[in-house]
Amino acid sequence: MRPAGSGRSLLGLFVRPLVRERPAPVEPEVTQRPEPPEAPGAEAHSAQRFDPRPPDPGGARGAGAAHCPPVHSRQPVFFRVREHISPGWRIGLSLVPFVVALAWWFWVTAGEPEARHISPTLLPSPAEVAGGLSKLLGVHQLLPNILLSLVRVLGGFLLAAVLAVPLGIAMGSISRIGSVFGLIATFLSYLPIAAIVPLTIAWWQTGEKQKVGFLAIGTFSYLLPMVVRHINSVDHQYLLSAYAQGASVWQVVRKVLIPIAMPDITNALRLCLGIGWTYIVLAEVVKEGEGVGGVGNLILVAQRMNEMNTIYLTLVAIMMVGAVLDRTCVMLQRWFFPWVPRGDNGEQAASPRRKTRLATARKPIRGGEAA
Amino acid sequence: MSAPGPPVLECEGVAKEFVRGGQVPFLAVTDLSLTVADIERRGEFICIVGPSGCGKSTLLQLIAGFDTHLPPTRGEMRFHGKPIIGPSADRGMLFQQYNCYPHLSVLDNIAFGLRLHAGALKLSGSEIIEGSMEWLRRVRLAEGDARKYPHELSGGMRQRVALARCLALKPRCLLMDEPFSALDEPTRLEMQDLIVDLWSQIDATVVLVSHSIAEAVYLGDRVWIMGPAPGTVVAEFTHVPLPDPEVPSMVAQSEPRFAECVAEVSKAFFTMLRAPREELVPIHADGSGTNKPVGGAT
Repeated sequence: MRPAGSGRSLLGLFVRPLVRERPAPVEPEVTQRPEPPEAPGAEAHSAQRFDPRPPDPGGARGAGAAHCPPVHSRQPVFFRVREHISPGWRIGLSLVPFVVALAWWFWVTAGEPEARHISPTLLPSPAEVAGGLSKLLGVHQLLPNILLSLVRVLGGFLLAAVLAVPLGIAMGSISRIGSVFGLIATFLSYLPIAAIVPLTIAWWQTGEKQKVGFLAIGTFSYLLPMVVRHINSVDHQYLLSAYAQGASVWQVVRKVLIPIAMPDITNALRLCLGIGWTYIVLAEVVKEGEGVGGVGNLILVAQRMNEMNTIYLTLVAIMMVGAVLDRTCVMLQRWFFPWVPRGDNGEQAASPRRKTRLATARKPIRGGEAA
Repeated sequence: MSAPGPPVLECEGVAKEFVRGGQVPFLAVTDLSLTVADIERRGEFICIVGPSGCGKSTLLQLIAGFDTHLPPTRGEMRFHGKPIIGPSADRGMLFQQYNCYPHLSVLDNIAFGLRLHAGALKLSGSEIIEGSMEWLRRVRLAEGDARKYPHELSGGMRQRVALARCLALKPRCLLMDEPFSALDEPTRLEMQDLIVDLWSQIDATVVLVSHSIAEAVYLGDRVWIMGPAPGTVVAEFTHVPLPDPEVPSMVAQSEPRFAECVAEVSKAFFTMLRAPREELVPIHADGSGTNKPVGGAT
């Protein structure tokens, strides 16, 4: 005879504590709500007694047979889903692709130029690329060119922002203005940016006006729908709360709608600045005349002179400047919007403690808190 | 009861039908006839319960006068004798969530309404701060929370801030749409205590929509039951025990008298749910003191 609760199978030996047989239910000695003693004439009343339970069709227990087996979800050891990893691991892992790419690069470009896996006209060796650095900085004037491109991008970006942000806010807040421009905005967002370079050259020749104009058009067409969307996504209850406090429509737009949407709008601005920075190359691919210069032109010149190493280095420089711009914007956002919860910028935000310190440090209580 | 002035709130045969382009018109509420009398130095506390989607929130938003709901398709609504033509600072509104402006600190949230009307109320900047700090204390928040942002607070604390934000303007009527539904049970009871305590100080009529019959019975002077959509008030309970600010809600809600009352309202509620539509008769909820029968059953 087996003792109670012993395994029905070999597995039972291991899972026994989990599937222990239940003891028979014990009648509680004191029920919480004792039934009132029924009076002799109470049958009619008790028959109508209120029973909120729905009729039980067949019983819930009849439907299935066995309990679900105790199947555990286990995370794999290394590739865990949504794991919180330490900064050390994060930085270390982010370097892995670079290390792999560098190793591969060294390997395919090792040896004499004729014996390489990849011809140096396609991919120069790391040493050759590094050797081009001094020429890039000196003859090709990388830094002044970057500065020139940056000024152009910022010019186009600011022009687009000055137009798109107020218009987008108006479109998002006032439905009829939104209806007037909505269709145009949809069309604009499908504008093939690269294809308007010839157009802008036809309009404005190849000077600074063309560069800034092209970037402004490109950025504007991306920015406008995003601003409208972010204004629209502010929860309506914030507006209702303000109305119920007697705020005028203008006050609601100014004090509730715009400030709440602002972090998202600055996110859109940041994205568009990045897009503008990558499109600058298109705007600057002009061979001569006024408006020569900038990183795009640098690439064009390097291509004509068949300097592959210069092209690669310039691309790396463009990406690095883009990353620095992005990080700077994120830092500015954190400083301007201390009330945005961690991670809501779509970024790894500051630590909560730092956040709180910022939040408490920025706004002194006017009038003093003694009361 | 003798009303010294016009009733605080009066609805006569109000119905609201939503027509959105291309869709079948949706009748949200119908035949709403309500009267909330003006009792001196003491507002009434009215709780509305009903199945989900029965138009409780629609009724509240109609009273608040939001332009998404005004005007009612039929009927008339008056607040202190004047027709409701739009939202106003004397009718505060508290939702289940999204009550605190996320970009303002706790103190600035509370001061929001005061700053809007600083001119009309003749308040200086420092008076606004002092007034807001006073409300901060009244809703039992720590003074150290004044500079925090809403995302740094718990759900219960956020609702306290929202409550202070509404009450700082001293509204004559406070409309609450399931304000405690998103909170856990102990916090909810705590908030009920707070509401009872504040309500005894503020002299405002409160209309609270709840999905909890116990909460409605506990907080309300009167409990209205609304039938399924199109919603209308089908029962009114006036003999519900009044909350005592001295007794914590957890204690008060474990008394037998309270349990009986909840059972009575629950019974009416479930009878109403099962009753055929044609048996649900709209009533004029005027607080006349009789617990009107539900679903035509006599």
